[in-house]
Amino acid sequence: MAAVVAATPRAGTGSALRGSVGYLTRRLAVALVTVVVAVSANFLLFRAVPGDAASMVKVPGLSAAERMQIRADFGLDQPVGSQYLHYLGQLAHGNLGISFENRKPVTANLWQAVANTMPMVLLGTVFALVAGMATGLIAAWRRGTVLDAGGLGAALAFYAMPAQWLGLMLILLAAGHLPSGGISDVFLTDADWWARTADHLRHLLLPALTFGLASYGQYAVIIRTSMLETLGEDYVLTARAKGFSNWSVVRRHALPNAMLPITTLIAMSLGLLVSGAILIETVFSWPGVGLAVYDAVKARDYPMLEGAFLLLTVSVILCNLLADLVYLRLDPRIRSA
Amino acid sequence: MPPPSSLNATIVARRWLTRLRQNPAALIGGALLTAFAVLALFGPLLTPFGIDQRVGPVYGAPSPAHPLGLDDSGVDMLSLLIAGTRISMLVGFAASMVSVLVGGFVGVTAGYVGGWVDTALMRITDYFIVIPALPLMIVVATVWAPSVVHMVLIIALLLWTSTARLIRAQVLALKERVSVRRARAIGAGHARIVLRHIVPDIVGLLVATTVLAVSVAVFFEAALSFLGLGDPATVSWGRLIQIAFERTAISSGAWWAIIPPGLCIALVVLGSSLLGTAIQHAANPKAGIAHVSSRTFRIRPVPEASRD
Amino acid sequence: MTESSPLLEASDLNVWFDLPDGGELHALRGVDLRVGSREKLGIVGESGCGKSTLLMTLMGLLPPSASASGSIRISGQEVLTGGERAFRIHRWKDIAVVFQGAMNALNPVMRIGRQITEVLELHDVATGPAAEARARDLVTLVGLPDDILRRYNHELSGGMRQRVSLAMALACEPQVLLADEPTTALDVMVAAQVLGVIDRLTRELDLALVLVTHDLPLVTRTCDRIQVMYAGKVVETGTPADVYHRSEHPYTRLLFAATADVHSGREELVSIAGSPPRLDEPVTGCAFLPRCPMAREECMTEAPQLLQVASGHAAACRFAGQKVRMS
Repeated sequence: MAAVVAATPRAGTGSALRGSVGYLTRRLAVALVTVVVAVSANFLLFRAVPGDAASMVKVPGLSAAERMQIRADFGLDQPVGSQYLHYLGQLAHGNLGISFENRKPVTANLWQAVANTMPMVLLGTVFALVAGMATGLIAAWRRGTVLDAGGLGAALAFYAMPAQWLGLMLILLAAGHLPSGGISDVFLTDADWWARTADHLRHLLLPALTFGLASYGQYAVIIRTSMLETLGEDYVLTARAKGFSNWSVVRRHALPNAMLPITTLIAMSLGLLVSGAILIETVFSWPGVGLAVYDAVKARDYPMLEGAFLLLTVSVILCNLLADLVYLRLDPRIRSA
Repeated sequence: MPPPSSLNATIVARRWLTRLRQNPAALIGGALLTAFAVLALFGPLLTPFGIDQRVGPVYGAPSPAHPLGLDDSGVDMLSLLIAGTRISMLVGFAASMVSVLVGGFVGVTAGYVGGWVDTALMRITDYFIVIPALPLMIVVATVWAPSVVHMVLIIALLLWTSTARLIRAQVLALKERVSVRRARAIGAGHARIVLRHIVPDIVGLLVATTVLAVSVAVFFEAALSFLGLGDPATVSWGRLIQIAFERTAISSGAWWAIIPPGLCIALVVLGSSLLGTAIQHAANPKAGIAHVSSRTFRIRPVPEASRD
Repeated sequence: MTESSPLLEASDLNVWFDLPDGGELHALRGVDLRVGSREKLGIVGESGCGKSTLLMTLMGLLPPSASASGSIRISGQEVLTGGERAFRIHRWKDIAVVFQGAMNALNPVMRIGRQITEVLELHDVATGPAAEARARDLVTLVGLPDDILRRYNHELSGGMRQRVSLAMALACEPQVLLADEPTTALDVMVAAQVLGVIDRLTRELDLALVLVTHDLPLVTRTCDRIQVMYAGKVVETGTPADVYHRSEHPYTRLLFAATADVHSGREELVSIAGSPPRLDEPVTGCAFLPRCPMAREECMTEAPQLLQVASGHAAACRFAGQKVRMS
């Protein structure tokens, strides 16, 4: 008598897989197009600059003949079309050119710069995530109380402070107890690994802390909003009706849903990490990507600029793609779209 | 017969104002912005000393005559700060308005026209989004002679994208509304539809975005000035921080040269964030139900007259 | 009709909600309710009469802005005075609920199967493979295929989601099932299926059912007893025959008359003029007064109590049981 009613769900597992692949392909296609656009725009940007690149090179005492030589060396006397093709060809070989300023390959310079920037911004992001999530979740749980207003207020206040100013303030506060410039003590030459690492960490602390404080506000706000919305959803009421304790409801049902927007935010922020530290690197004389860009601009070092821009743009695109992948993994609704 | 749009607008505006008035964040934000706007407008008339006037020693400490001390040229810091308010606020508001205008135009066009125009505009927008903002601004600022106008344009150059996306999303949703479809069915011209049906509904979003954009614009002005790309002839808060940094205010212990300008920036950014978010909420209030909460419902003793 | 001790009993329930601008809404005004084993109680009324609030209160699912008074006894144990903690002990094990419009009642990022097995584990009914087996039995019970356990909420249609909610609700074999408009969001065919399942299961599992709906034909067909609610109070209670054919409250009469009945042959729809009273102000006298065709002076001063008209049939009208001329 109890006939199994023919139930046809909207999508079977086969379709979910097809849906995922479809989503990925679309995302990948968009990313590729954007990369191509970025590469081309990058190329044009630095050719469209008024005045010839070589004439703008700020190396003192170059004669006219030497400038002509530089132009020929860098292929700047060729027509634009062939320059573009040449550029693409070089890119395919991973060759980003030679820096005008220190005559070393751009790739090598950037590599070193990235290696310097990453520990600082990664540590800073860890600070920011921990502080942001704690603030946001507590504020959402204790909505309307002092914890909410206070936590949110502090987060917004720090987020409102200009990063360079915050760095200077921290230097003032640290009052010489922590190093305020450079990535290591230049005079510490024959110390052992421990001492050198400790020294690195001491130099790392203030800039990373500045980065963390300056950016935790956005995480706090987003997770607070997301959690508040999630707590009002019907399935949370169902979970409560099932007899779960408040903490179980939050852990099993609210958090996994509330965290969805923040995972994409994190992945996207990773893309911006590399470029987001220019101001902090300037304040702390930190020889990372940001400072490299700044120096390259001042010296009109076009190959470096071109290379750096390409690096920064592509890393943003890649991290956005990564964000899409992560979201695909976490939210089953996307797979059937 | 639907009421004319202008009447709708007044009712809606009044409703928003009531909601805003009850929101403490909106009040604080509004107060901060108004205070600084007033200072920007009338401040330079009140500056006690000239900004080129040397009145004391290098990095003179604060005193009753000079509550914020002196900078490294012996100029009164308070006067510099007030003078800087005007430029910073000007750049902030101008850049924000330009960016919202451009972004709004792009968003409405992309959303309303659709098709390949939409795709093309969105690809361009996407490119501007992925390109690192500050580095691009630096490049353009270096090539272009530094001036206030150029700075406004440079900042607006990168700020318009988020507005474009937001507006486009809203327009796409509005396009499907019954009133719009009806208007299209009776053959109303596109300009008319956009102006009468779509624009009034995105005004809230535009206002909120403008206010929020002020915070971003002020931030970028400070960043560009800090990197030495601002107009050297003008004084702005960002420039004051740059000067303090380059002229070793820290090692001289002259905290009064560093703290006030940054504090002003922080207050303006905070104020516009608070107000902008509050406006967004006023336009789209969401019921705040929480099915699970740290507090629970209360038990009352049985009322005396339980049957009324 | 059962005379055994009731599985669920509420007396003199009052619920207030704080309003944002300071006042309060008196949503339930002294409601009584009782259901015994295998009994099906229907609760009907207009939107806003408090029937959904009543169900929420019976499970203690009130928000922090609410306050409540009175007594609720589940299997003889008083729970209301114990607050949230006391309710939690009985939730799902003794009393379970199927919500209205189960579109979002299921967690979108958790598989269906998991959402069923988690209650089994929580209430120590089964774990691991035994829990999965039981979950399979449950979905079969409501007429769904096994593979639904691997799916997610968005892959299911409305009827399927409602049936999943039902299977979930029955997982721990509660004694009382509360159903809030279980078929409102569904189309007619699917609604009939879901109701058939509910009907069958109440008989097979000895459940007590409290069905909240505004669908009057449904409730007269399915339920053993009906309570009519208006403005937070119960205005009539009795068997379907009592309430439909022998209604003693003017609101009940008008309510049933306002239902379009294909078979009755009547040409016009009767509607009840006016609208329910605002519950954020105190009501003196009978709440139905402004819309009542039988209203008299006496109705203004004293709120009517439930008057016994016959065995098991009561109505909250001073004229209950009398023959009164309509004015």
